[in-house]
Order: sequence, then structure tokens, then C-alpha cells
Amino acid sequence: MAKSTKVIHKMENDPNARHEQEIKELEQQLLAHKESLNELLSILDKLNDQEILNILNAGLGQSDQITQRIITAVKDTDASKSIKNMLLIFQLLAALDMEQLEPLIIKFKKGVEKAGKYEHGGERGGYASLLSALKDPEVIEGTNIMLRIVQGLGTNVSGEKKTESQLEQYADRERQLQKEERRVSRTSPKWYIFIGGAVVALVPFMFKKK
Amino acid sequence: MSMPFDIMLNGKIQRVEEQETIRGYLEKQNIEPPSLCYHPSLGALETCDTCIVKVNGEFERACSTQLKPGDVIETETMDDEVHEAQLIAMDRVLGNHELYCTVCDFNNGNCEIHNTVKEMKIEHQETPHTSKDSGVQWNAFYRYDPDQCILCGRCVEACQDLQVNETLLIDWNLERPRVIWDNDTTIDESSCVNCGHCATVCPCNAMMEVGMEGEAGFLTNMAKETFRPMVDVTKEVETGYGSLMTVSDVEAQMREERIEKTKTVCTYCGVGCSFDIWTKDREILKIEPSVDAPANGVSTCVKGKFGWDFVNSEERLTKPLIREGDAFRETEWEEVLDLIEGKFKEKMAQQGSDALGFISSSKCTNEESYLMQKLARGVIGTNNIDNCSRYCQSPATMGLWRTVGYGGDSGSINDDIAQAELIITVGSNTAESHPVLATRVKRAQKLHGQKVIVADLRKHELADRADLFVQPAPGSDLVWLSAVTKYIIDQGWQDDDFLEQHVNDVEAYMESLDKYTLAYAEEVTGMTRDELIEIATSIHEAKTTSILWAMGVTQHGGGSDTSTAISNLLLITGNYMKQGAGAYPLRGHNNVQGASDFGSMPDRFPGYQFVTDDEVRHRFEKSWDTELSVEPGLNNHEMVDAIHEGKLEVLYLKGEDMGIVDSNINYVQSAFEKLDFFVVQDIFFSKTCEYADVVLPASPSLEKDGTFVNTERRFQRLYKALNPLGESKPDWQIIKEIANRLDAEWHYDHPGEIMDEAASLTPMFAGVSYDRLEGYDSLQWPVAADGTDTPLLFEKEFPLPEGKARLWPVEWTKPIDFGDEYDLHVNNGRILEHFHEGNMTYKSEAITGKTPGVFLEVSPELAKERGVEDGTKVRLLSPYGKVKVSCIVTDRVSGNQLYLPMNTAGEGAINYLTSSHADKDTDTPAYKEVSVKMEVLEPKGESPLTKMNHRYGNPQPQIGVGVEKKWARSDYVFPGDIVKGRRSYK
Ligand code: SF4
Ligand code: SF4
Ligand code: SF4
Ligand code: FES
Repeated sequence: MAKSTKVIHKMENDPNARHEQEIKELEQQLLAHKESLNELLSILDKLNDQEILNILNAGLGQSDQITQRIITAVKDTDASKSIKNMLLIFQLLAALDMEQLEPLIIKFKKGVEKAGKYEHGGERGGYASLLSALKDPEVIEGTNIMLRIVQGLGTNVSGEKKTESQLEQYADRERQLQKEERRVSRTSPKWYIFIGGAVVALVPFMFKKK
Repeated sequence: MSMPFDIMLNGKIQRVEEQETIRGYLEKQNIEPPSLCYHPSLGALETCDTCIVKVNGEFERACSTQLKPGDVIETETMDDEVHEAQLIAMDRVLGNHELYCTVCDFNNGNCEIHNTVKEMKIEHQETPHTSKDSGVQWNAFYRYDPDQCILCGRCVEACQDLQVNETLLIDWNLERPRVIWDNDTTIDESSCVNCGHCATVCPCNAMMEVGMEGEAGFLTNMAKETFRPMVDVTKEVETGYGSLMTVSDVEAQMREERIEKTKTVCTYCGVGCSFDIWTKDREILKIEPSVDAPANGVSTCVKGKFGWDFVNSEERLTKPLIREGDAFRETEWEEVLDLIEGKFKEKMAQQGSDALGFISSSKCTNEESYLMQKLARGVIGTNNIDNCSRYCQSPATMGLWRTVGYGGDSGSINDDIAQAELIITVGSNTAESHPVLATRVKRAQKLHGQKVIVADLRKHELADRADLFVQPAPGSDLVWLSAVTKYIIDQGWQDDDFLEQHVNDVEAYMESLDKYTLAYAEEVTGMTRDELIEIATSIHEAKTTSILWAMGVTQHGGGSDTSTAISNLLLITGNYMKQGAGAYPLRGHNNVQGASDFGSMPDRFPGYQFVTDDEVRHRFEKSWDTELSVEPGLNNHEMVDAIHEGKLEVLYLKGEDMGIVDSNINYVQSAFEKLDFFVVQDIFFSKTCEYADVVLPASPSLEKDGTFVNTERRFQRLYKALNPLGESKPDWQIIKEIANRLDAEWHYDHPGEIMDEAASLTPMFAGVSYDRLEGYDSLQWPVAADGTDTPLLFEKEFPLPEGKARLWPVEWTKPIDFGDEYDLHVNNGRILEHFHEGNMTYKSEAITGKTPGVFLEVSPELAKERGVEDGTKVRLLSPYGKVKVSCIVTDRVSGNQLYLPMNTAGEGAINYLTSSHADKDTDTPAYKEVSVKMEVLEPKGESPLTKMNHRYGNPQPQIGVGVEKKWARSDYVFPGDIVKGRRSYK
């Protein structure tokens, strides 16, 4: 004998219980990813040494306006393409302050070069497990490269000169189209830079949950 | 052309086994040239020129050139001529399309431009990319960016000739050609129905689903102002395309991790479109149809393509509800299951099993239908189990059982309906109710000269396109069908050989036709003699005729008989047992077919095996290890009566808003009020839930595994794409838990196990298994144990005595007479963009934005007579109830006909008007027999349909893309000619 009704009394959500539940879930997550987290932390330590983290931190959550200013600034600097690429990727994750960043640019470059010298050594990055997506061995290599980049940040950078822009390198289009094989093979060092960059990009993502 | 023949390919002689294009042949040899405008579902469009090869020394487009004996084909030449011509074409493409892959939402490994650039090892381009200086076109479903559009014309071809909505064109006369809608208006003001074909076939991000925007990529969600500098930086950084490709490939690979692509089957109509759904967490990025989908290929309608928001709706039920007095309270599963267990057991002990009733849903999976009937029969011990196909489809099934033995479509959408020489639709609003199926008819008619005859009350889209459109009086179809049959016999046009070999009861049937003279038919149906003769002649002249029908036939007092008359006509003319012919009752809900196939019927087990058949019943008893009732149970109408009579006191109903979709809902609702215990299981708090004692939160199709059977009798698998929301659960799990509370000890862990059990007990599905239904694989029943299925339902014989079909004499049942007072006839049915009562599609903001609510269609004549205009609010009164609704005036209806779509659960709901009158053979409500009187409540008001609705658009039919106009432009030179010119300089 039920009369039609639309009234529904929602269950009271006990905020404390929910909080507890969330903490429990978080705990489980942390335990499940213990190894990866340790690796991550060591990377972060290194980033921290170079104050990158602070900068990133400061930038996180800044408005799109800042992003735009910086991107425009990056676009207009004559930094090498690798550096721009790194910046590009960092840029997307956090609004960086160009002025604070500038001293780092050359350091980046050093890291990038160091990365360029890295050869296939069969080493596997333990923290690659962080990125279960990236099953491609080349990408795993890329993460190793990232480590080199981070290490490179600490090197002395006085007296470095600019790298040649790719535009100049590839000016001769005719030759390009007709004769050239794909300029850059998948295993040439440049790729690691990009891949490394992409991987670096993931680090802040771990913390910036959408 | 005599096959096979020889050709020379790159200096080697090769054998060609079948007639095909050069591109098709090369593809098989794995030396497919680039081909950006070619799409397997659309054919050669000849707009991109990237597929150029050399044929007998001349440059030709491989996609459109047929192979001929002795052809000399060169795909690579010593001096790279072919590559050069292809590069010129690609360069033009890239002048229209900017490569910013890393920050592009389309960069998911399947961008055809990206992949072609990579394959052709292009590093740079000659023609700089320039803007077309025309803004981005955007609506809530998809968007078009002219600056990324390569003018391949796939979208146009899809819109013109596959969907056949005829909205898109490329305006080749513009300085910078681009895609336009109707007469170059906005998407929303155009005739676009948002079917999404265009976005689906676009090779790049030019035409893209808005769900993808800013969502697919890691780096794509940025403010508008940032985007431009970002693209510039990307390009500066990645000047050589090679490096750009690799960076973006890495990024694309990263996307793979967080974007899930899951194959599913549409949860709306019986066409059974299947596609991949792309999700990121619970967010739905897009529906990606596939050429592999057996029923629909790359086609969808707006509901399947864009109608999924309901899954994440705030209104979803996420916790069980329990009634306390006049309100519900959320609770945990334990408590409701305890209650259900107690109540069911108590009722069974006190009143016996038949005091309980079970109603299954045609939206749920086969496995769930199977479990529901197993619960009713095997655990509770009653045959009181039915499903809502009673509301629509049973009469069609009955008509076919009588005459040909199987209650299903004779063939397939693509192999038969699209191939028929003549299509007749009766009482079917095909283009709105079965949109993708209708596209196959529209396409066949437009491109291949298929003849289309439409018999309907209302001038809907297909009627408008038909070669012959007839408007028989409501409920009179049986008469004209029989008269046409008689006329055919009188002319001696019947297929005597077929009748002789395959049909019984011919004489008796022919005699029964005596009264159906043309004169009688003219009088009853209001059709003219010429129309009747033209229909008969058309059938006679066509080699193959397929008849499609739907609710306009079935939802009448004589629905089963009219369905029988259709089948009789097909038998007399030999239109069974061959490709392109047959009977096609178009199934409404996604799983109408499967719900009955899997035994949610009061008198039949799965596979239509009678509960009264001892052998069958013993098979089930043995497997289920219990004794089963031999008494057929109540169908859902009888259940409602039994509730009123106090015989049925407990009802468990899932996935069906019976309180709004059943006819004469006042009567049904008052029955619900009398129930002792009422369990309703749904994804939303439906009208029916309001009467429940317990409401169980179920999961929709995207949140579970299972199978559906579409209108073609086709089994298709759906895979779980999302986790159940909140504490909702897939129906099969809920049923299992209830059964186990009643000591059933079911151990299913996956729907696949349920299917195995059902198949083992049902000869008709013997070979159905999940392994055979992997991905886009499908099976059309009957399926033999070895997995052989039956696309063409009748090949050698009919499943009736002697293997013969039988002609079945039928009498016309006059529709009910409401008396003169009720002077207007209310036709009712579906509209394209909302499904059924609308509890899912109204949750889509985009759809609701275009079609906010229900409306009443009034003819211009009637509008004038009664002072009705767009927005006038009226009340309709039938002897059973009343509705209030706003009008639009349209010539889709004529005279005293009104059309009231069923898409509302509010005060405009059609079933407040309908009676309990039903098909005499199946109890399907005669929804279509409604007459009313109309009162104007408010003469002026806002139109219920916005001018942004596609019904106000202005389609521009043409065949194809109009590439000749491109070729005729002064700035166009065929790349082959450029290369030739360059060579002659040397
Ligand atoms: S009707 Fe609209 S969505 Fe469908 S193909 Fe045409 S333009 Fe695209
Ligand atoms: S929008 Fe149409 S014409 Fe433009 S690229 Fe896409 S499919 Fe081709
Ligand atoms: S509603 Fe029907 S036609 Fe539309 S996508 Fe779904 S199954 Fe296909
Ligand atoms: S694929 Fe042949 S012209 Fe485009």
C-alpha cells in the first residue's frame, strides 16, 4: 500500500568517517607504490637541490595569464631548441617566473648535453615503474637520460656557447625532400632529450591531481 | 572483365584475382600509397592527390583507378617521380593543416596526417601553412577548425551520402574553400542532426568531438591566449617534422595510459551500433565507431555518439533506498537484501510462488534477462516473468511465428535491407527511431536507385524522401496489405514455384482474401486505387522486397494480424529465402530481441522453448537442480490485473519505467499502490520508483560486461568501460545476490559463465560463447554448436512442420471508436534525439539544449482552425486521462492528426491518454489508438522547440564532394602534371 513519493532522505555522511576512509585509502596507495615513491623522492631531492622545486612550487596554480606571458617570453628568447623544449614542458605544468628561471637555462643545457652523451648501457631506471605506461624500452632509456639531466644541472657552466639552431642546420630544403632519409633516427641522442623532457614533465603531474 | 588477369607491378608480373582499384590491390601487397581522402566506408573522393602512382606511364590516382589487364603500375620510379608527385600533394595538405601534434587533442596514434607525414619521411614543407581566415565553428557536440581542414571532403561525403542528412558541403567557390553548413550558416542553425559521422571520419582534428577538446592530451588543456604562442614554440622547437613526430609520439603513448578505449554496444535503440568509447577516469572523451562494427560501421546517431552524460549524472541512484512511510531513506545493501529475503520468503510461504511477479527489461543484457527468469522460475517457482517488449514487439513476433516460425528479422541491415530493390516501411518512423538503419535505406535510395515506399500517418523524414508515400487511415494497414496481396494474386504475379516448394495452406489463404478488393481497401484505408496498384506493381517488378515495420503496426488491437498480413504478402511474392528480401520488424530498445530470446516470457524458456514442453522443462530442471512449474505465468498486463484482483502481491521490476511507459498509466499506477512489496531496480529514480518499497541502484551498460541482441538477431558483446558508480551494481550481480539470499547458491563470477549455461540449455544459441564474440565479432542466431551462425534466417527451410512456411488468414480488427467528441487522432512515437521517456537523454546538456522537451505537432490546417501557433499550450483529453503540452505547427502532420512524442515522464506523457485496450493476441497495448479532444489553454507562449533545432534547417543535397569544382579552379594543377613539366625541362 505505497503512495507515490519522491522524498528521499540521503544518508548522512559522517565527515570524520569519510576522512578516515580517505586516509586509509591514501595509506594503501602509498604502501602499494613504496618503491616508486622512494625513487621519486630521490629525484625530487635532486631537483630540490637545484631549487627547481621551489620555483615549480611557486608557480603551481598560477593563472593562465602568467603561463601566457612566459610562453611568449620563451618563444622570443634565442635559447636553443632543446632548452626551449625543456622549458615548454615545464612550462605547461607550472607557471614559471622567467627571471628566476634564467640562471637555470644554461644549466639545463649542460644537463641536456650530458644526456646527449649517454649511450645505451642496458641500464634500467627503477623509477620507470612510476610510469607504467611507458613500456617502450626507448622511453625507459629516456628516464635514465632524465637523471643525467638532473645531474647536469649541478655542473659549472661558464664559457658555454650557443648551439646551432635546427633551422640553420636544415636550411637546404631541396636536399631534404629528395635525398634525405629521415634525418633523425629513433636512436639518435636527441630523442632522449625529448623523451627525458616528457618524463620530467610527469613528475609534477604526480602531485598536481586534476 | 575476365578474371584473373596479369599486370606488371614495379617491374614484376603479378596475378590479379578480383576486380578492384589500384589502391585496393596495392594495399593487399602492403605497398599502399598515402591516401588521405580515402576512407573504406566512403570510397574514393579524389580530393587529396596523395595516392598518385604511375599507370601505363601516366600519373593516376590509385584510389579511383580500376585495375585493367596488362596495366603497368609503378609506385616507385628511378627518378622518384611518383614520390615527388605525392610530396606535392602532401605539401598542399600541409599548407592547410598546421602540425602542432604535441599540443593537439587528436594526437592519439591514429591521426592520418601525422602518420602520413611520418611514413613519407617529410621534414619540411614548401607551402607555409596559412589561415583560412574564417572562425572556428562550434556547437555543444563537435567543432570545426577551418585552419586545420585539409579539404579532403570525407565529412561531406559522410554527411551527404552515408548519413544522408545533406548538411555539409565544401564551398569550392570561396577564395579559400572550407566546409560549410547548409547555406553557410552556423552548425546550430543548420539542418545538422549531430550524428557525428563527420567528426568520426575526419582524418585529423579539423572536425572533432568537443569532448576531446583540452582533454585528450597532457599539454592540450590551456587557455586560448596561451595556445598560439605555445604552437609557435612547439614549432620552433621542433622544426624538423621528424623530431616533432617523435616528441608527439611519446606524448601520444603517454596518453594511452590514461585514456581507456573500450568496445561497447549502444544502449539506446535496436539497431545495435557498436563502437569504442574513450574514457579518462569517468570522463567520456568520445565515441569512436569502427569500420569493423557489423551493424553500423562508422555510423551512429546523436544518441549513440553523444548521449552518454547520463552515466555521470548527479541524479544516478548510488545507494539502495528503503521506504519508510511516505519517504525513502538511503541505506546499505545488507539491509535491503535482508528485507527482500524476508518478504519474498514470507510471501512464498503464505501465498505461494505465484503471488510474486518479475519484470525484466529490454535495456538489460541477455545474461540479466536469463538470470531474472531463472530467479523467477528456478528459485521462486513461478512463470510470472515478462519483459517490456510486450509493449511493442510481441505482435510482430507473433505474426512471424505463425507464418515463418522464427520471430526475428529475416536478414541483416547491410547485406539485405541496404541491398533490397524495394523497401516498404509500414508504421515506422525509421529515420528517427532507427536512425542508423535508416541511413542505409537513404543511401541505397540516393546512390543505388533503391525504391522506397512509405506507409505512415505522418510525413516524417523517410516519408518525405520516399518514391511513394501513402497515408492509410489509422489502424487500417491490414486491409491495404491484404488488398495488395489479393491484387497480386489476381494478376497472377504470385511466386508459384516458391509457394509450391516452401509454403503450406496456400489455397485456404487465397480464399480468405476474397473480401479484400481494391474498392474495399479504398473505402477503409482512404488510399486510392492507383496507390494500391502501384504498390503491387512495384513489388512485382522488384527482384527483392524487404518490408520494415514498427510500432505503427504492432501497437493496435490487431497488431499481430497486421504483422501476419505483412508476412503473408512476402510469402505470396516469394520474398523470403533470398538476399535483400524478407520481414524486418524493427526492434525498439537495444535489447528487445534479447530480452525475449533469453526467456523473460511467461510461457517460454530461453530460445522460445515452451515451459509446457516436458522434454525442455526436464532439461532445465536437471541443470538447475530443481522442479519447475509447468503452468505458463502472467504477462505484464495480466500481472497488473492480478494486482488489482489481489492475487499478485509482490513485484520485482528492473530497468523499466512501467509506471510511465505502459498504457493507461493511471490504472498501472494504482496497481502499484496496492502491492504488498515492490522492488524496483533502475539507474535513476524513475516514476515507477515512486511506488516502490525498495529501490535498488543498478549500473548502466557502460558499467558492466554482457551481450545484447540487436534487431538483426545479432549477438554483440559489451565490455565494462567504467566502474559502477557509487554503490550501484550490475543487474546480474544484484539478481545473483537476491537469489543467493533465497538459497540458490549461484556462483557466477562473470556474465560469460551465465552465457555458457544459457547456451548449453538452448539449442538456438548452442554455439554462442564469449570467445566467439571477442571485440567486434558477432553472431546472428540461430547459432549451431560449432559456431556457425545464420545471417540469412531462412535459407533452405522454415522451422515449421514439413520445413514449410504457412499462409495464415487474418481478419481486420477495427480500431476502437472514441466517439465523435474525441475528434483528433493522436499519433505518437519517438523523436530522433531523445530516447523513450527520456530519463537518459535529457541528462545530456547538449541534446537537451537543442530539444528541451516534449512538443505536440499540429497540422497547419488544424492550427488555423483552432487558433494554434508555435508555443500555444493545449490540453488533450481522452476518456482515460489528460495531458498538457505546447504545440508546434508543422506539415509533418496533416488534418486532424496530432503527433505527440513519447519522450517525457511529465504531464505531457502520452500514456495518460492511452487505454488498456490491447492487441488481442499478445496483449500489447494499442498505444496508437488514441483519440482526444483539444482545448487551448494559453494561446501564446514560447515555442517548445528552439529555432536551433535541426528541424528548422535547410539541407543542401548533392552527391559527393564536388571535386570536379576543385579541379576546375584556376589555382589547381594536378601534381602529376607539375612533375611531368619539371621533367621535361631537364
Ligand atoms: S548531420 Fe551534422 S553531425 Fe551528422 S554528418 Fe552531417 S554535419 Fe556532421
Ligand atoms: S573537416 Fe572534413 S574536409 Fe576538413 S579535414 Fe576533416 S573530413 Fe576533411
Ligand atoms: S540509438 Fe540506435 S541508431 Fe543511434 S547509435 Fe544507438 S543503436 Fe545506433
Ligand atoms: S586517396 Fe586518392 S585522391 Fe585522396
